[in-house]
Amino acid sequence: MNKVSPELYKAISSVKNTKEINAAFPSDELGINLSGDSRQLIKVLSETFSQSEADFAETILLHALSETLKVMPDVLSEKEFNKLEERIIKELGLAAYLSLRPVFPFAQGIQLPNFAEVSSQKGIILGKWVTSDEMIVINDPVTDKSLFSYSKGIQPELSVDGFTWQWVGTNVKPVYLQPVNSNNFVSTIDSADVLFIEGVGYFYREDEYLDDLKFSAYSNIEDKIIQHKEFTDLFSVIGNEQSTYSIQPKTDAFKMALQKSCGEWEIGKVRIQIFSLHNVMISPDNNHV
Amino acid sequence: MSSRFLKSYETSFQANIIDSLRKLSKNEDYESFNLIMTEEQAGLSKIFSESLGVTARSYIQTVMGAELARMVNIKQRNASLEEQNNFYSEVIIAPLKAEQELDGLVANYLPINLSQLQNALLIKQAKLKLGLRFNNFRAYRLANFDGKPTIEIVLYIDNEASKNFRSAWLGVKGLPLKSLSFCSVSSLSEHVNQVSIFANIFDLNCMHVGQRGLRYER
Repeated sequence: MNKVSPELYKAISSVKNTKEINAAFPSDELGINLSGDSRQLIKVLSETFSQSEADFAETILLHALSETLKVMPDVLSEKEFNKLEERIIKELGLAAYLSLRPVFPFAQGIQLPNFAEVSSQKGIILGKWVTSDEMIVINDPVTDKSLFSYSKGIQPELSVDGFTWQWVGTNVKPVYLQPVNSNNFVSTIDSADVLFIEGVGYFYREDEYLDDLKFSAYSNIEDKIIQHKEFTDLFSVIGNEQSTYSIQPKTDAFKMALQKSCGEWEIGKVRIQIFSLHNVMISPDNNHV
Repeated sequence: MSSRFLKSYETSFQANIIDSLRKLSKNEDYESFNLIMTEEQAGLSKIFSESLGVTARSYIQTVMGAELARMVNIKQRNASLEEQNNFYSEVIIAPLKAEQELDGLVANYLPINLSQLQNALLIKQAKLKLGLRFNNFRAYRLANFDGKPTIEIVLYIDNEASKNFRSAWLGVKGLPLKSLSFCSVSSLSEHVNQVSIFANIFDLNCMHVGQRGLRYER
């Protein structure tokens, strides 16, 4: 991760406690006063990068926000910083916090994931993430049967991607799944990383870089329903019992989708939950912040 | 793509910006600007500003002023390749998914900082090409066969071709620079051996790693 620039560091550390109070904020638009030079810079730089001034300003704001989080531990006391983290998670959700890409120390971090992807010789398995005093247990998300268990005493090793642990002969990727909140099925499934189909199991987005809406089964699915006509009418199914299943919604599925609740849809007789996936970066080292 | 954008590829960034900056008057008057943000950004600004004990307006004015000042500083002092690359990466943002895709690269490709690059030809090429078209550089080191010098790789986004990482330059000491293109990051992982073989062949300049194997060009 990049070091915070001295300019921003100085600016944030020097912001004075003015005891002013935010009047009627947040809203999606805020009038701010910039020095004449800064205002001109937005104009010149946005033109150079062929972006609108609004987009360019948003880019700068976004960068400043995630950099601010890195400066905060030096500006606030530990207690205040913990409170700040808690407040962001409580008010904006864990996914919003994870998008700032902080790295959590071990003891704090392991409280955050709700699922994990484990790759072993059997393929990629999705499990629920459960912690107890001594252990981290990965349970089958459907049957709740324990699939893997790791002692907290044995430290995992972090692989180069910064997300995945090498742990007792497996690769473990702690993740946070959040229901996609949109009342439009097309946009919901477009931003889906993981699908849960009731009675079948969990599927992951196959190639996020193509616009394909193709989802592959994790290796721990129940495949009873997948060959039924009720299902194949709505989804094209590729694969068989010997290989991995991939599914892709058909046009009819889009026509028939009805929203039940946030992230939950009913398509004919098929019930489906739609999630976005966020990697949780946890350092195996407890002293790392 | 707009013709303006294509044109801006052709003119150097440096000349463009520095010249425009010179024309700026040292004007200390304040001007208003309407900042449009998402609900999440507004929420974060509110929480950060309240932790600091100021209004969201003061907080945002301060950090945006600092960010802009930093951008000017990068251009005005003799910034390193790494600093310049970070600057471009902030403004021409690689899609998060393209970044995550890189995380799946096998560990044979050891990520290094741009400042750790040793190959003079590769550094020269990277400096020369960095701009609106080629940016978001990522440097890697790849072990070579016994006793041979390390292979250094700079992956980049060619904005004219794709928003993903699909191209790279390869440098090996004593050999001319090579270009590599690939259809996906996973194919780059899969064909890691062929990539290092290619890097060592003197008279091959380009290689493409496709879904159905490899293609070389002189």
